[in-house]
Amino acid sequence: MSKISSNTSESNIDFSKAASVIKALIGLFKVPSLPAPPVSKRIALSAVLRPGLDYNKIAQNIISESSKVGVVVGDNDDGSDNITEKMEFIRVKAICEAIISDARITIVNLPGQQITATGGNAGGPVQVYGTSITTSNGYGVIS
Amino acid sequence: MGFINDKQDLFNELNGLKTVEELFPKFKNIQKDLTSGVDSVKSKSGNIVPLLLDLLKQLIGSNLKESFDELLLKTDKIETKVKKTMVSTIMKNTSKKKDFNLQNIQNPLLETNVKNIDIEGTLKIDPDTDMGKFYYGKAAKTIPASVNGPQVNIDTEPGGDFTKFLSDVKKSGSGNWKNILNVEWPSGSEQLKFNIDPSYQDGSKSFENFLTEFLDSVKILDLGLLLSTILDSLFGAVSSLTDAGSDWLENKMKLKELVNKVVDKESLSKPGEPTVYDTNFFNFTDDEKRKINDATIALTNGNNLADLGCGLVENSVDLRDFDAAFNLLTESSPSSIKKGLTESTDKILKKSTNGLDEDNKKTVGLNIISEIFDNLTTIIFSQTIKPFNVVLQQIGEGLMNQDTSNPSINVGAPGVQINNSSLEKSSVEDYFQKFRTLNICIIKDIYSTIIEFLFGLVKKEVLILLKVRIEILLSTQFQNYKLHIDKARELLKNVKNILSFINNLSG
Repeated sequence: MSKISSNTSESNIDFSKAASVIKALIGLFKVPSLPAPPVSKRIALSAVLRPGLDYNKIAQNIISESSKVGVVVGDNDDGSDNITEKMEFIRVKAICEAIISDARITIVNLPGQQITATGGNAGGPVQVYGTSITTSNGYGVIS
Repeated sequence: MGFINDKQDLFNELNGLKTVEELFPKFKNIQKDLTSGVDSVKSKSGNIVPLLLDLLKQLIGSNLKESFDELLLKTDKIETKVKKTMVSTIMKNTSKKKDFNLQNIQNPLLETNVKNIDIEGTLKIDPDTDMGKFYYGKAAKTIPASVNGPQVNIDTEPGGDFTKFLSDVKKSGSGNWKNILNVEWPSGSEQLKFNIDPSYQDGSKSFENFLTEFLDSVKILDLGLLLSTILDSLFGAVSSLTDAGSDWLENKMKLKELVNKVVDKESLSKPGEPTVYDTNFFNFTDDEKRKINDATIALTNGNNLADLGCGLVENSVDLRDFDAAFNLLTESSPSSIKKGLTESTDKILKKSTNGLDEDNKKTVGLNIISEIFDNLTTIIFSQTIKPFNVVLQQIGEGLMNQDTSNPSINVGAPGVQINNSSLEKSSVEDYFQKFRTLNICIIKDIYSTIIEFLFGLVKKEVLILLKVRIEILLSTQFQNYKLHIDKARELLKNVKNILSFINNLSG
């Protein structure tokens, strides 16, 4: 019997072993995460005037965009309904309804938020300025 | 199975990246060729060359041919690795005697039958014939012979084919290889003597010096020989020129099977753990024998090319077509070598895809290059089954079998007897098994260098894709941010209009 030792390259990948090379290849595809820039308060405030989710509009947009990559839209050649388009409406409607009725939003306010409060005591009204020292939760709905 | 799932994940990742990129016209600069469920993913074999080639086909498509030429131009890296392995393996085997001085050795270092050093039987072929030039590499530079000295004298300039030198010695009776070795080969005899050159025994050289300097003095990976071996692996072209064509091809198929077995076992073994081989491992099973037989027949009939999509291709290639390209490979300027290489591979592809339409030519061309890449470990390994290496191994065996740790006696052992007359086992199998430790190390060196090269190509292309992916991500984030602002502006405008309307009503 003869024993053969293994050899590893400078990059710590043992190119003579399949598992080592495949692990390194999978590692190549890891895309770094890039956080999106935060939305400003003013812009967030304008959300109150937004129209809300409209599944018809979403499905129309999908169909319109898919035509750009070559998906056949409109009625079939024999005049029958395009099932794919109908499916798109059904799918988007189901997703929107699930989001609107089932999604739960939890908001966490971080400590350090500036607060201004008023109160009173025997001496008269009191105004308080300060910062919150704990987190606080809130809930919301998607419409 | 985790191994296969991991391979599938690779293609999923790649297809995901490419799909995202192709949906953005701005970044649409990479070829569309999405496939899934490729054979290399389903394969249980440890050899991952096919997997890397499938990834590369999707990433760079027909540019794979340029990558192949590029790899052949970098074979010096493999040659250096292989030479180091040869020295270290012989030194490990002869560890007790590594410090002895060459001055103490009495010649001959080796006295053996030619069959024990010429495993493939190359020396039976005359290098000065049309056929012979495909079996020998570039000849080393000779210098004039002295009056009573050896008849063939090789200059000390590095490089040159040692087998060609031996063939010249066979004709003239004696020769000196670069002031390192003297060879005696009496006319008509099968017995050779290898002596250390007296000038080399000046007291300053160790056995390790001898091994290193001898290996540095020979060229292992001669591009001309590599390409004629490639032609053989595709068309059976070179072997068909010999009297024993099918036996030669069968030996090559046996070698391929042995190399594949080693690659498979090594590749699937756990990283960091030594792989244990028992002697039975190298004996072929009935299935393997059938596979070798089928592969030999397929190569003889040209069916292997039909399997690659070439259709009916004439299997006897006229080697004269490659004369000009091969001549360029023997020149010293790098540009001529590169040109010779490009011309040779272009001709191989042209010859294989003759009669196909343009679309099929592209696909079949890729198949041919993949096939060559897939066989490359065997093709390169076969260049080490040459007398330059076997002579050293036989000398090493001779030393190892000596009792004394200071061999001041004649070590001219007959070497290991290589069986070339048995019907059960060919000389290639016998050699491979008897020198298995070295052969496994060489195969690992070659295979891992090829994998490293292919991995580098995949990495380069994936990084380009990832760069595009990140650009898309940043661009999408910016567009989303802009969308928020536009939406807010639009909403405020609506509010303003409503307020203005109310104002008008109340006014």
